Amino acid sequence: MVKRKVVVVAKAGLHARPANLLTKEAQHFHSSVEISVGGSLYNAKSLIGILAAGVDCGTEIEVVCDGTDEKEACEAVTNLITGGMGE
Amino acid sequence: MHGYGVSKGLCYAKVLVLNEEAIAFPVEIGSPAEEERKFMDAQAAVLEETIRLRDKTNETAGGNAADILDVHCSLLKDSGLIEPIKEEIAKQTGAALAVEKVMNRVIAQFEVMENEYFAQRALDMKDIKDNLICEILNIKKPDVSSLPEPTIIVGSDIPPSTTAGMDLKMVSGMLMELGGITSHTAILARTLDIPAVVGVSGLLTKVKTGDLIGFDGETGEIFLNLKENEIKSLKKKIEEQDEEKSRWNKFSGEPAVTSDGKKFDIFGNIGSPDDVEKVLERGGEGIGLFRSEFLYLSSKILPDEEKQYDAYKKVLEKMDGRPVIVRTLDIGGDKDVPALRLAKEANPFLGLRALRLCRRKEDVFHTQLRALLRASIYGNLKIMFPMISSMEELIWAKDKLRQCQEELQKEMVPFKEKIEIGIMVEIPAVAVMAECFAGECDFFSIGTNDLTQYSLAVDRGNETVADLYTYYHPAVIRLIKMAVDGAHKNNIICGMCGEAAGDPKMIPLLVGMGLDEYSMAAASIPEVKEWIGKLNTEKCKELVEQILRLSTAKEIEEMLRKFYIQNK
Repeated sequence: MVKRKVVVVAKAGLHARPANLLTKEAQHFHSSVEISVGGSLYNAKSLIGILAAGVDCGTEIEVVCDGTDEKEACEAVTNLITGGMGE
Repeated sequence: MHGYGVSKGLCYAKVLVLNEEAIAFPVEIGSPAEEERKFMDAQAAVLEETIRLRDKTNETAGGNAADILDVHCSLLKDSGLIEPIKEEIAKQTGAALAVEKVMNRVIAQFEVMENEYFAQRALDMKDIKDNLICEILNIKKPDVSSLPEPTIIVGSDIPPSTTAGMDLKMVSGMLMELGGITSHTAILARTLDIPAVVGVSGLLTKVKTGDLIGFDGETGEIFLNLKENEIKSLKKKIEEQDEEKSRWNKFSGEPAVTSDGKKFDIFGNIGSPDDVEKVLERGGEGIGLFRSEFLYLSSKILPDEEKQYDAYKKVLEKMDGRPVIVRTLDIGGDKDVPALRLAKEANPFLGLRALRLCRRKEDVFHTQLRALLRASIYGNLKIMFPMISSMEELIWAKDKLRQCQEELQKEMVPFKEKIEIGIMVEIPAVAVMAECFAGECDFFSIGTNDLTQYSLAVDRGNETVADLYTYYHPAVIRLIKMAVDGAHKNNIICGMCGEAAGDPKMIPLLVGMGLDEYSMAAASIPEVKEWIGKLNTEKCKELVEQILRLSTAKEIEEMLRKFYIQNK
């Protein structure tokens, strides 16, 4: 399992559009991809899961990946988040 | 009746109320396998229709509006939604009711979220739910895809899947009982420039299909039962509004490109976050000057970091990635700030003003820089220092900015690493030394109002010498040219944010000099864009040569006037 902490910089947080991008990215990988926010885990492959997490801009979240391609998954997802998701 | 105006404009038309009948869930249901089949068929059909609408919207309204529908597509495919519904069906629940139950749980979860943006997503879920249930139960919705006459669409909510299929040419306005300013309908209405008011309580009990009503998308006011003369005056206002819009639209959406293909940036000047809409509406491609003074001038106490951060963030977000040049505090001179208790000076314009004041009151400057850096992550922020007269001042200001960056880094507060730093060219010394200054910053913005006053030693507020105050003075023209040339030798951009940048007579001269960016009052933007489109850069360069041979302001103004009349 790999974990990495990142700060969400997308201006409106992980709202609909960025969350949609994130889900699509996470779905590329075999590993499970989850985000940990305030002690709860949310499935990053489910858009409803990410939206339900209600992550605002500036919040620190932890990306948790587990599986055969966990390293690549973690790398790709954290890069997307720190890159501001095209905002 | 009243609501929140979310998309500006007046309108007056017949109402169409979207169907709001309660859904009756069937009592007799099939086996779980049959019901699951029904659900999956409906899911596939709704998904297919949503994809179609997404692609259509992409063509008609652009990517932003289509993104909303792409989110709907993802939600429709989401295992976090499909699996719980299948599980519910397996418990002997009918397909439609299973969708209702599961999605209501999700909707409730979103409705209680504190952040309004996320709470609004409940409306998206509701939209998807209604579409799925209508598909499963074969319920027909009112047809909005071909409207016979101009119509105001009314609903408790007007979901994106409905707006996407609308006959937009015939939609005069949209009214919603629910919703906030970040609801998709509000965003879409603004994008498409259709007047809209949301959050109108009691709307559906008072308005019926076929009623003739009007409303104001700016104030949120709704006009029912209008008298003859009121209708007349409203219609007249709408006509005027449409005329103005069509004039703006013609040029606002287009870049300012000369007849020989050279593009120039046309920006707007603003004094507060509320001015941004006007700039965008008229086609401003950025903010060339955000006067940060309003924060200081309007309050008795100095604005703290949070208050400033909020204001900068608001502007950056509204500008959505377009450049925003914020000028740091420019007070003193003729602008007094009660909270700073500045001493009266004999010569305020030559005294403790703008950056000079910041050097004496470092804490004030420090607060502003921190607020700016923190807000920088929300868009394309550029910082501009006013009243620079020496290299030492510029280097001092950059040092202070670096210190604030280090501070924030230590505090783990995010900010953008690369922020362009520029200076106002408004003191003749800087124009003369332009090449030197251009090596130390990323852009110039020429402030012609002060540059004129300082070059000619004419107090611009003093009526008795007002006749001497003119930027057509050959010395001012030369200083402008020195600034532009100095910038270009160092490959940095040179803009202008003074009155001259929006003056149609000056523009050919500035185009000839190669000035890159023109920032002006929002109202001038469409006119300037139109005017630049008629210019030819070679002809403008010739004009510069001719102007530089003249020795009086009067001759220069006359030649520029002639050029304008001959070419407009």
